[in-house]
Amino acid sequence: MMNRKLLTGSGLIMAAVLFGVFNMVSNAAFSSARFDLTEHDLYTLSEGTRNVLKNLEEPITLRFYLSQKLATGLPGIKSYATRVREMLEEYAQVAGDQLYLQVMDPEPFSEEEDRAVAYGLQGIPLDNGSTQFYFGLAGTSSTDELEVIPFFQPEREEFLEYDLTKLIHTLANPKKKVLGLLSTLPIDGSGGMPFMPPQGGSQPWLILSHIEQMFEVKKIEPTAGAIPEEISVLMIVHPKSLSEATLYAIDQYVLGGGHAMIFVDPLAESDSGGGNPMNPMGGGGPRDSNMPKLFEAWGVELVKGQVLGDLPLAKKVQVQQQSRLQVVDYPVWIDFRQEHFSDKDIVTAQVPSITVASAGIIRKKGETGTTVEALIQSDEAAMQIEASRLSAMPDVGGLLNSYRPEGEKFIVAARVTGTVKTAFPEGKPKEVPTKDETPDTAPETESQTKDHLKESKEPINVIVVADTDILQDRFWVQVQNFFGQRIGIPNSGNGTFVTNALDNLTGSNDLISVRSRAGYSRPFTLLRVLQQEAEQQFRQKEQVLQEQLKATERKIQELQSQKPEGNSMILSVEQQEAMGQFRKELLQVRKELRGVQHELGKNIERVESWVKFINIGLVPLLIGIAGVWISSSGIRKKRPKA
Amino acid sequence: MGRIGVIFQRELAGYFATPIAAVFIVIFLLLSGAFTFYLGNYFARGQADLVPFFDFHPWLYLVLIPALAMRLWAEERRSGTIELLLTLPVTMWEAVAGKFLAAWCFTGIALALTFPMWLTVNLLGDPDNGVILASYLGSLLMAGGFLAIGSCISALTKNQVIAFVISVVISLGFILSGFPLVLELFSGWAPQFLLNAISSFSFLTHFQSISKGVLDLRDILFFLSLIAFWLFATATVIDMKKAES
Repeated sequence: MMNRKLLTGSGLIMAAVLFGVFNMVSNAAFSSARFDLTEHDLYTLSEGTRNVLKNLEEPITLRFYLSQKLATGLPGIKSYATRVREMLEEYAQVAGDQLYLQVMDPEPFSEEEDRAVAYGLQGIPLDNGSTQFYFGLAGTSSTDELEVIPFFQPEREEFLEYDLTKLIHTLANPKKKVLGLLSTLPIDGSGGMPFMPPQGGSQPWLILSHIEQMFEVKKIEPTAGAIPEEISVLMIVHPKSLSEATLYAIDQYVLGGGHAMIFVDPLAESDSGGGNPMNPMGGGGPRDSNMPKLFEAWGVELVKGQVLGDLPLAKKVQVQQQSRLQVVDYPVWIDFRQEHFSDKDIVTAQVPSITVASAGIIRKKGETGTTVEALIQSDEAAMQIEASRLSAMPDVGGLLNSYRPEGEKFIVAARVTGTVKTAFPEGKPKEVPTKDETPDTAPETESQTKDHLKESKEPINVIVVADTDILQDRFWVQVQNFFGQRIGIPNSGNGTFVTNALDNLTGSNDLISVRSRAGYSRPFTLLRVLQQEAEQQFRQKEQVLQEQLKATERKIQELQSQKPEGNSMILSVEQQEAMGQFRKELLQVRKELRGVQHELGKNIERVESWVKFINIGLVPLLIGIAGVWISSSGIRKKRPKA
Repeated sequence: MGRIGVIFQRELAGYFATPIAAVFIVIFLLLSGAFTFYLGNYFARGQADLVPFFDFHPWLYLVLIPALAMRLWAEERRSGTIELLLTLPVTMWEAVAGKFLAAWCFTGIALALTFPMWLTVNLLGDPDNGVILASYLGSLLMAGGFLAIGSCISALTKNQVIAFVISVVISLGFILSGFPLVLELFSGWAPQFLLNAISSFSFLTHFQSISKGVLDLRDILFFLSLIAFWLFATATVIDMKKAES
């Protein structure tokens, strides 16, 4: 028996107090004792973060602002705030003396609040706007560089480690490397539409602000005659009708050891082709880009006029078909998943998904001695589709009907390495520099003329991506407006892939391992395959019926046009009979067609309702029967035999 | 431990001697399935995870576990078998722990029988199974918390209905502590450290933190210490009631 004295009311109160105190102590004592079961170890500091923290050369101060009192009443935010604080404490522990963490509680109307505002933190009005809630971070370096996270968005929890590590990395390396951006697309929110004034509402693409956080972006005109020397990595987007001089400059830059990431496209959806972007039916010029001359020298090519279709990985779109809206697979908008990426290349090894739109196909070409390694590769059920079929209003139904898998994996992005020869064996093309050329690049043009490189000094390192839409916001990020600030919540790893590649090309790999870990979305793969199979089947049936329908309609028209001469109002008896027969057929086919369309939806529903039935109905039913049987057999056993 | 084992076995077998066990499990499976697919919009979300499934567990347990726990002691007291139980050569602590463990194990069986959900999500897509495993562990720990509370309240009264209602109310308090609904009761007079302590008792935040896929020692210790406290309270209550009668 337990000690009777203990089993009293006062014992109970003591136990309650003990329980409370125990939890308060354990809350404080065990902040980093956790076992991370997530697939990508989302809650464990990555090697990249540890490297960044251990290699800090100058001390960094982090001021974590959290309105404690207000947070108590916001349970969702509070648990996230605890996680942020603990992660920062872990950072401080790993970094040792080089990282100083201060936790601030900016009470309303205090000096601390003023300082938070001065740092640029975002206060969220609570209690009818009378008080501001702060939950952000301000980091300063010894050279008074300032980096701020204005407000920790709970939606970005998966990216927390990356956001924090990037902030520290930026403070530790205040001098950003220079990225040269040569783009004919309106990636910075301006230009791109030569005959249109810049629209007030056009925003820079989010990918650019991602890049700007790591690099100092220097714009290079598509007519430039030289690549400035301070550039660490060159990013070329949609190289459309570049001048020979510019191509030569790129050739020499790469041969001279410069690294580049190039986005070409057989059909850039964000390129209006010079037409009016507000009027997609208005047509316009070509929307493709390529650099065949340089690619040939590097041993690759972009397959001309062909777009990649991959039905099993297709995104869904809404289209108008027979006067009704339908959601169908659009095989040229593709969601690639991890199994389609190279797991050997750090750039893609851990990227969970990448979305492309009307991407092209890259092939190895010729014997140049370069290695072309696929970074993104399609499924075997992919096919090549004529780019010309994807006009402003593509016939999605037609695409699906003519879809035939080619049984080949096609490359969408590749890394090209190796020693190459120049694409300009005759030296600098004899072209008069255009007027647009900036004066400061002119002297370099001269210097380049002097030492023309015929061959690369060291192996080149270029990443070629056969899609420019990969950079467009709508294919990878959901942009939210948060009190006037644009917050991006990625739903695909496009940004990760691009920034990984740029980081890697400049020789820095620390942030890559941190960046690639977030989860992103995990779609129902099997359900999609089932849906697609069903849709494919019904589409074939639909096509047969549609043809039958057209044939019958044609016959009726023919009969009507064969009315006996003289009296156009009267049909012969046979004609009338035949007409009646065809009308019946017509009605029958229309009915079947409706049935098929109806069936299409039903078939998808059937899969879902099976899953529901098994989980909600069948399993409980079986268990119920088993339970009754077990208990009744138990009762029988107990009952004495008569 | 041997005697706890005996009580545990006797109690667990008792659950399956009547169809009540099956009824409980069937209701649990029916509701968790229906909530996941209909209220949780499982297919509309299009995500291969079990988030909508686990999100409803605290609320399911809020109703179902007090129903399971209400008979733990109230029934023994009503029928008078409690006297018999306590005259057996087992300590009070062993009896309390044995009964609790049997009920917890039974809940675990019910939870394990939701495995078709896990099979479904793995068949449909490529979920993060580590997160699912952690969520199951978290759910089991939380169920233990609800059960321990129910066990103590059941010891307080002979009337099972009263035991059920009081358990639901107290459990609700533990689910929502940390939410304004509960905190406002204290915010006028209690100091900040007490408010912090109360808000840290929320089942919901501890469970949600585990179901993200990370087993934090503090979350586990919270549920274990909570179970220990309420079981201690159960023993105390039974002992006090014994003295009264």
